[in-house]
Amino acid sequence: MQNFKINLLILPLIAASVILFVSACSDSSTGPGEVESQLEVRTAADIPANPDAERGDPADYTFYDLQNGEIVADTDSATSTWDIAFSSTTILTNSGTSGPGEGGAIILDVPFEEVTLAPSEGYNTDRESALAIPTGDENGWYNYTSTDQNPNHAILPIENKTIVIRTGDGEHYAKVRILSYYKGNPEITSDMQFPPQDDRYYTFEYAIQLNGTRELN
Amino acid sequence: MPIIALKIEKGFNPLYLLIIVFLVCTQPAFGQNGAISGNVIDKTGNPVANAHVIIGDNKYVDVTNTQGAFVFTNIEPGTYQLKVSSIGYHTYEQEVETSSGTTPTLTIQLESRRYESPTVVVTATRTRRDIEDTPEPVTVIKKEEIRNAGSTRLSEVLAEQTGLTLTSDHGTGVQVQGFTSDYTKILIDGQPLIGRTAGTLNLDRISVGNVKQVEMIKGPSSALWGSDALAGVINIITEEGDRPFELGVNSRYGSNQTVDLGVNVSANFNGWENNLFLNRNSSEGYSLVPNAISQTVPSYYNYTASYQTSAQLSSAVEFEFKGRYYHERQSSTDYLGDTNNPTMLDGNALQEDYSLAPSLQFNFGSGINAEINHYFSRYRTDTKFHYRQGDSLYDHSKFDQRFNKLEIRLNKAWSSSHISTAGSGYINEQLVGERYPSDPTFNSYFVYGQHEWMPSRKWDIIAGFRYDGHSEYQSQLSPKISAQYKISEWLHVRGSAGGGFKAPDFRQLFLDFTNPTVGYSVFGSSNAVQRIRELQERGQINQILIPLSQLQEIEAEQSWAYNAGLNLFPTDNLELRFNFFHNDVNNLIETAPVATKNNGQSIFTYFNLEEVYTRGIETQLRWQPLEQLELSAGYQLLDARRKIAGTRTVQDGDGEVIEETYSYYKPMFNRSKHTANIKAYYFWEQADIDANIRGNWYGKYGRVDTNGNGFVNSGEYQDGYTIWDAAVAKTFREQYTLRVGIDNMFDFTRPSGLSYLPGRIFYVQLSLQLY
Repeated sequence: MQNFKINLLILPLIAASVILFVSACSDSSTGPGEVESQLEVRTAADIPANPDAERGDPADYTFYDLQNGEIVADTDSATSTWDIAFSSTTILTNSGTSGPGEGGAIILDVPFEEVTLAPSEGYNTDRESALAIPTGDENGWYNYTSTDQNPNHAILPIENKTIVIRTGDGEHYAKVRILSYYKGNPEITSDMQFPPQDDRYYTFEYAIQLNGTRELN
Repeated sequence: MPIIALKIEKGFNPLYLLIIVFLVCTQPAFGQNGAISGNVIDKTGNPVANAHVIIGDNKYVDVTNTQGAFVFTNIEPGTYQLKVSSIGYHTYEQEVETSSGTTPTLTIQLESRRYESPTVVVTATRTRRDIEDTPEPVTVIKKEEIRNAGSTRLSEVLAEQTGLTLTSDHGTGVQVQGFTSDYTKILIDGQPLIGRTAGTLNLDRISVGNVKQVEMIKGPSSALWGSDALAGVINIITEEGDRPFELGVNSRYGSNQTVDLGVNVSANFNGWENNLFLNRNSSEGYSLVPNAISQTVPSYYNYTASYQTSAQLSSAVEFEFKGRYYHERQSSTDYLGDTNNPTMLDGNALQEDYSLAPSLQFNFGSGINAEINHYFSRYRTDTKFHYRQGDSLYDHSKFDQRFNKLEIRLNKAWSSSHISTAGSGYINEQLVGERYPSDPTFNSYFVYGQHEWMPSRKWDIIAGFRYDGHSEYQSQLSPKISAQYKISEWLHVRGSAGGGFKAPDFRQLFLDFTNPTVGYSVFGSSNAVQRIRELQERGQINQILIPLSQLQEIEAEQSWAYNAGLNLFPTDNLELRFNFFHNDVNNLIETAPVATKNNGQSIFTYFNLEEVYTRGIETQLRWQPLEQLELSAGYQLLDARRKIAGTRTVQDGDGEVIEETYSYYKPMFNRSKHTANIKAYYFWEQADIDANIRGNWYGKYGRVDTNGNGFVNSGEYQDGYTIWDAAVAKTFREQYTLRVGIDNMFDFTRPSGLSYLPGRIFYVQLSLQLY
């Protein structure tokens, strides 16, 4: 009988310690348990990327602030307020040779929805030899159809590519999916004639975590 | 000695011996029996060789010789059923009576199955063989079929064949077993046609007004035909006159002001044969996109002249010469800038090719014959664009290719069951063009050998190889083995395995091209290292992506294929053919960047990168339910996939970046998984009227790579389509034929990718056989 009593006393003790232990673990390992997620999912439509330039004109970038979801004036291009910038098919991050910021990017071959956590390291920065988001057909975010695919001469975002961006202040992470390079995000059909009048307008979807964690879901 | 006329020397089958022993034992004494002899001829009176003559339920069997003659001796007196059969003809039956001492002589005229292909083919073995005796999967399109369909160009003929799909890319090409047109070799009378643009040999260049038949082998045939015969070979056999003098005129007028005029003349002066064919073909072209500035297919006219002559120089030597000339001019409208405010250009494109092919054939007796031939061909284009205003020159490009081949071939028939073929040759090719500043030259030589063995009348086995040595890329050895077994009269099985290759072309080896507006460069494999070094010395290179020392010469694209077939002849008027194919291809050549320039653009060169396989089943049914009606249907199931391999950047469980390698085979674009055709021919003999209707169906196919991943996803398919054609003809006095027809009856068009389909076409055709 004594043994039984001891057991009766021990059981709640064990239960309490288990509860304590589990909660202690979760406290130490996951930030978001404490910090509430502030994930913002937005779509930026028809961001001009030097649409009026003639061939051979110098690049003229449109700077974009993902945190506030707005275009940043060219006069602020030397600050870390902007996160990414567009001029024709080139996308800059606020890092290295492109800006004073702490930004960077990783291109993942993972569908947008499946990127739930931003990597903690491995962010590429813009350098003389290569940008964090490489330019060129099949190198970075787009595929140029040339004459071997229909429609000809179209710039089409590569499916299932997700660009993870570290913002210009180096404090936040966002995931970006380019939807279109053409004004109004038109549906692409094989008999369309490219380039249409209004190319170099980006429409992209992005999710940014404003609480400072890497959670992107 | 009582023995019947059995050709025992041909086979080792012990069954024959047993039959003979049996017959020897059971035959009554010599002298009491009768005999039957005769000749088998066709409708025109020509002898039919290799016809089976059977008396009384396989009691006596003979096969006609080359003169069409057969003979039976020692036949027991009595009444028998005599049956004569030969592939391509209706089986003939009659009763014969023999009594001792009499020898009835019969003349038996076989009626051809009207749309059947009896047919001797040369493409499978380079010797004349009955199509049913070759273990290779050979398809033959006969002259009658071409005429009935009212076709004038090779492209129209091939469009109606099972498993073939036309493609538009700098000309009309043909896809065979899922391979683009680069991989099919086109021959005229066994000699290669040259002149490809972006890999396509334009099939509209070839008039079929003097074609006797088109022979087609699907599957690699490099063991006999060398480079380019990776997916197959299409050999156009031209017609030669039979009578002392022949003159035929053919004219056709159709929609889009398409006019085709042809004259065939042949004359035979005491064994000196001459055949001449002249053709003019022209069209106003057509537009599939309304209000477009440029026509989909611009207006053109072209001329073809071809001449063949042969003479027996002595009893053992025959001389032959073949020549061909083709000339085309195309006028097009193009523009610069945007469509609202275009700067108009007038284009004028010349295409010209000619070939000369003399040959000597020797017959040394005792089964040995030889041929030595030379083939020269030149193909050139000259394209100019002028500004419409001011008439100054905008662009002028030229291309000039020459091809020389000397070949010697030896055939030796050791016995009726062993035949050897051996050959060797030398090829020299030259090229002149703006994009090839080095004026490149190719030299290659080849050796081939083949042995055919027929262990019995049921078996046929062929093994062969070809070795191609080349100045610019690695040498190739292409083996092949094939066999056929006739299980019974109505069931034949066959199989083959072989290799094929396609040599890197001039473009892949020697191209030197820099895009004037964008600034990227493409260099051929042979000059890439040198050109990049030059640019490096001038300080124009930003980064070398692949160390130049690691750049290797590109190798030929290679395939290895298996074919297995089953031919069924369940009744006299029904045949059913199956062919299973599997092609593995590797070393397919693709461009990839090798360096970047200071202007940010890349330099590309060619690499052996891709792997592909295609496999499928082809079936063909022919059925003649009535004397006047023939039906045929074909179906192909095709699974064409390319290997997609690489690394991708993904995340591990903690969200950190990892590189993952992947590799899988995915469906390729522009290939229908299912294609089918159906044809019905009706012939009303009394009135000399024939009519036909033909349908070709192409199942859904991947068309637009909207996501750029290089393979077909579920959302990237285009709907299938069907093309229906019909024609009816009346022949007067067996000499003059008037034909009217409609192609593409329901006016199906699809400007993107199917630009060779002009919509509904009406035509009238008049053929006059004057002599």
